Amino acid sequence: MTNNLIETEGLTRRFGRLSAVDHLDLSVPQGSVYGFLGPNGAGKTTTIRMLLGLIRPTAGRVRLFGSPLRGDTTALLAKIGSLVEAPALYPHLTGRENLEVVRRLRSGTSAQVNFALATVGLEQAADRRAGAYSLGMIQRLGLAAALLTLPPLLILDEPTNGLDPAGIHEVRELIRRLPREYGMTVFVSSHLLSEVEQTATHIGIIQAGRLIFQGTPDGLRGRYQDHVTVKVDQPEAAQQTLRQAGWQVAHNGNHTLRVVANGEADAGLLTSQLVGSGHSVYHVALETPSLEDIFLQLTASPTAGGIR
Amino acid sequence: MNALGRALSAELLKTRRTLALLMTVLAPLIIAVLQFAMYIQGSEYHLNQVDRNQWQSLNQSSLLFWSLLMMPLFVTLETALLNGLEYDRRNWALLYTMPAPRWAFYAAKAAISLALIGISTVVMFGLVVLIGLILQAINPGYGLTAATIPWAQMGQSYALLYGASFLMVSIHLWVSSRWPNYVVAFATGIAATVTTVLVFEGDLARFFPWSMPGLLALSTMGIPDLVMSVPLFLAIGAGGGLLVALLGGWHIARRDVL
Repeated sequence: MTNNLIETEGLTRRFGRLSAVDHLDLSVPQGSVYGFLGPNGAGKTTTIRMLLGLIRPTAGRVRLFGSPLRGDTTALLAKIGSLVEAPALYPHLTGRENLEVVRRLRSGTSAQVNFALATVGLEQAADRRAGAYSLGMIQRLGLAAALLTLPPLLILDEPTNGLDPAGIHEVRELIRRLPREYGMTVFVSSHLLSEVEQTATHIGIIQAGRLIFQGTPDGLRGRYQDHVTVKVDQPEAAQQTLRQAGWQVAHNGNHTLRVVANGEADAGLLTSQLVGSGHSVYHVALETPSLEDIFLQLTASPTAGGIR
Repeated sequence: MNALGRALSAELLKTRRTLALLMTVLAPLIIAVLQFAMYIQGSEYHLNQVDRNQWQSLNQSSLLFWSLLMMPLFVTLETALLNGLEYDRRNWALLYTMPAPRWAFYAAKAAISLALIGISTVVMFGLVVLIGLILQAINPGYGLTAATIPWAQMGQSYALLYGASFLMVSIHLWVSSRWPNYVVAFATGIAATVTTVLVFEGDLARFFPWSMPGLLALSTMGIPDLVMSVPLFLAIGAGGGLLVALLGGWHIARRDVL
């Protein structure tokens, strides 16, 4: 029996000749916070729309809770709360009335409306018309609608759009709490790794419709090694010395060498080897790439190589 | 509660504080005020016409204005406003991720549209009676006494008007569901209204969805040129409306929400 709440196999959506999503194989484990990352236009929203049955795939399959998403999806959708792109709401209704619309459609309870309003911090503004809400408040209302009945799976498309830093922090904390407190699985898309790297237990990176990484944040970090930057008096000779000692070295044209290394021990070892061979070492720095660096590097080019 | 009941309940809540709800009173009121003004202005023609059925005359001209001029535009406006609730903020995505079949949302919109048109029809009926009684109070020479109100005939004409309007309502509901741009909905409504006026006196008008309800309603008043088979034209209007609603629901349920 699978423990993936979301699974896609060869999921593809074309618009004319453009492949918005191209053979996507997603696996979202139960109880995870899955950060679905990619630059704007990478295919995140199209993927989410296919996961929710809003648009039909050109090819491939979607399985939610182990069942295929086709035919009557009512039972599956009852287990999913979602926020797709701009949050939907009715501006002529109050915040509470907007949630009441969702409550009626989901057969929820009035207590759940109050709970959702409290969870997103909209209690004070609940009886004001949503048309007078700020962008951040609208986003919170969309979130409240998504988690109203505390469904086992939450699919959120860029939930922090329009929020101020404090709001972003609150949403981040909320997403972190949901699996722990309510056993939810959260699938959250973003174009900023920094937004999800503190909360995500799993990461999928999409670029030009293709999944170029899927795994844990540690797994992503593990794909990229640390390196040591060394400044020496004779770079060509120093490079030769290090290569003979078995290091991978790149010379960037001035007095700086970039050496692939694994932690501080390697930094110390290669420095002593250089000094022992008679080189003058001016500067040594160990650099560990952040997830943001890796993400930017991965998504910098549409033809970014797949490191699955 | 089943899916349709839940969709209907949500749809009902969404109409709160909307122009669509306000218009159910405002649209018939415009016709009633116009009719009242015409009776006051043309009092010489309307007063002391002892040989004429004054209530039928008032009802006939009110029905004519309502059914041929106001109703097609009113139906256009109501259906466009109801679907605009979803299009203005891209709320179709919200609805279609709810645990209910898509047809339920379309059926709920159809039901609310018909309910709003029904309310306006009843309001129109009530306003015709009201202005008649006010005119009578102003000048008894109008011959619009409360005792002579032809309740049965008037009730029948408004019931037929409503029943035969289902086809028009279904067409406009589909148009405004299919195209998010209000221009398409209003262009359809305006074109239909203009065509109604142009074809009104021809045989084609009997089968034209926008003029059929009014002609069927007026046919109950014994106008020789308008004798129509009530069951046949009611079946075309109401049955055709149901058929178009089913096709519209099927079509809308299959579309992608981009």
